Amino acid sequence: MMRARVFVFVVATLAGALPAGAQTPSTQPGATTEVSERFSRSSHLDANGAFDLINLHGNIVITAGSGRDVTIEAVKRVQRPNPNAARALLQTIDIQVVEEANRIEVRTSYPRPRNFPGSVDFTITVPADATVSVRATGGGIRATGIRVEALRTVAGDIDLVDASADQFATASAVSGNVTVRGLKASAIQLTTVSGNVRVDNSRGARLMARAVSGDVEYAGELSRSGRYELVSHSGDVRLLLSGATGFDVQANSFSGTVQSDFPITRRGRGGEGNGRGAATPRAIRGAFGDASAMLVLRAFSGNVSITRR
Amino acid sequence: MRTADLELAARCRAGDADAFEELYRQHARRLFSLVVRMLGSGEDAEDLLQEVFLQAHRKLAGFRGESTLGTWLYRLTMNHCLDHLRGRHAKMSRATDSLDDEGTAEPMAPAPAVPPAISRMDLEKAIDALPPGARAAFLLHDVEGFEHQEVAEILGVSEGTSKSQVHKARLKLRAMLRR
Amino acid sequence: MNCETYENQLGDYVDGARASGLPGDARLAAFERHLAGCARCQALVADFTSIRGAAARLEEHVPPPRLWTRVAASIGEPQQRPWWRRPLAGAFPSWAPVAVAVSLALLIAGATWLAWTQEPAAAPHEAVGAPAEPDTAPAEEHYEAAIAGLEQLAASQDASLDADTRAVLKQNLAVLDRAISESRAALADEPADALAQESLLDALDTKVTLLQDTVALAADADAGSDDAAGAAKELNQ
Repeated sequence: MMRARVFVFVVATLAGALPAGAQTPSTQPGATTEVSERFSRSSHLDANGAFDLINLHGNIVITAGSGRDVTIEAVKRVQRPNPNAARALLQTIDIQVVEEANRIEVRTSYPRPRNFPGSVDFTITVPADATVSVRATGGGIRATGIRVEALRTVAGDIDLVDASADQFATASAVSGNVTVRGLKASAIQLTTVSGNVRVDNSRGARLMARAVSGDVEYAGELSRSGRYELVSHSGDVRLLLSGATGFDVQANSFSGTVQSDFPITRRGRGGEGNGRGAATPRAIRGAFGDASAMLVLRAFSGNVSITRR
Repeated sequence: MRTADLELAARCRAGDADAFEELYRQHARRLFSLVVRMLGSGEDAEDLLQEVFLQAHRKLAGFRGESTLGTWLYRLTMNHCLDHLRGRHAKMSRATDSLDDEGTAEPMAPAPAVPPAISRMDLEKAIDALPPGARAAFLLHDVEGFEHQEVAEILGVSEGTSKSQVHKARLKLRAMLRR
Repeated sequence: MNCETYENQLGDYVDGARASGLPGDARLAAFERHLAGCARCQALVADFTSIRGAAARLEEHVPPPRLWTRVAASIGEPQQRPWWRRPLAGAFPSWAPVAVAVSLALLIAGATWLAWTQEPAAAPHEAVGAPAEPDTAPAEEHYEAAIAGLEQLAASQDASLDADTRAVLKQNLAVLDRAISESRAALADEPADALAQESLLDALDTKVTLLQDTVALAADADAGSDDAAGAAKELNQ
């Protein structure tokens, strides 16, 4: 039932430009051949189905469409100096599609993943009400309009646009930026180790965003009675707020500064987080307006700022 | 009963720590048992129950006495449990007891199939294998002892649905516990 | 046989309801008459009664005392236990065999970290007697145990991930280790500082998550490679 359109073309590429009067390609280091193969599969999901993708390396673009169709287009790529070797390797990259009980799982596999020879790029459409989970070893993930459960990659950026999430959604990269726009989520966690997290124009009950060496930024309005926890170790934590939602804030930086454009009615006996016994430029704790949203902002060596957008 | 509830709720709202502890002491034990069996894990139960009580503390402002405080708490707890299970089920790749899966009709053996003395462990394991909706109704009705009308109120369904879910649970348990 | 139409009555009967001659009991009375001659329904009633009896006798699971501590703390300090910080044992991937060894290590390491309270860094006039030095030690031990176990697992899976990915993971573990040692240094200077504590636990938590994800990825790759190797073998035959 797998309709695979297979065509192989050989492309000769050179790793570097040839200067005038240069050597012939065969002596130029880095000459490789790329072979590729397309994969195509169509299916469908009933209401509230699930779509899972597990990929090795490659970029993933997944978009919500209208209707019940699921379309999976992929391009396998291998680069080797020897085109025959490249073709042989290409054959052993397998894309499996498993369909069961209103759930589709797509999985890229290779007999010796330690030596994975290339990449598989995916372009996928799913119904708007399908819950999507993507796990990749490497490569970027761009998702638009979907209902997200988890997007994970090791090296690569995650772009999540106009998505929605039910409980406990996650978008995480190890080395890469996590950028979210127009999200409606009841609870979502965005994390990266090296990279920035940026959230724009989103609504929801709970947001946790964390970077270790990178900035965390939230721009837009706060949801009433939303809970926001934005944490960075060595990067900055920035809130760029529009709208007039009140908030209760606990903002700290261990060795950076904490600053707010908004008037905060300070609270507590001054024992803010650093034991100094008085409010310091490294901590702000109190309320703005009706304190309906809750903010916890924390940086270790970076700065924390709350500004008007 | 209601006035006592409203009073307790009012005291909690006003920041009376003792009142909130009283609320906790009244309900935590039974709720904990329920949640452990709903989620199948003690650690998850602790986390979830902590979330529930935190949310209860914030939402007490909206308690108007339409139900008892207990029912209100139970409803909050069950909603959390079912949400948690729905999240988890979407992840399980080989789940055969999905929320929508009606499964094959249970065989209707014409003779009693389960041993008269069912081991506790067998029963707990079997309950853990029930789909969430049936599990919820069974735990509330047969384990916790709520009437169908109360179960319906807690789960936000009709009494008829409560009865049919309990029936479905008993059938599945019977199939799993047959000797 | 019309057993199915009596589903509700059968349930009520198991629950102890009996027809008592009142008009509202008509349906129940009809079921009782049906029951007298139906072996299937008799069997169901017997089994359901056993099940219900066993269910009613199930013992309570008693919540540990620390649960109240956690609840009380989180009411007082809403940020006490981040909602997203799952218990380590519960956060493991669902492929249990690999995770079991590590989660056992966690259980042995103890769960007292949950009882740590945020040091309020009291205003001077309140500092009497022994300063309640906040104890991140139990939490740290918990995390360190998890990290050790996971590092072992990850090392045993070294054959599964490609070199580039391993390099990225190694690089970022180093970033995390730097964050951890910075937080520890800060904590050594100011042991009462809640922010230093939080930073340390954050970094440890992130490291555990990273290692968990690494192990999960490697397991995925292994699972995929088994399938692919099998498929490749089939193709070659």
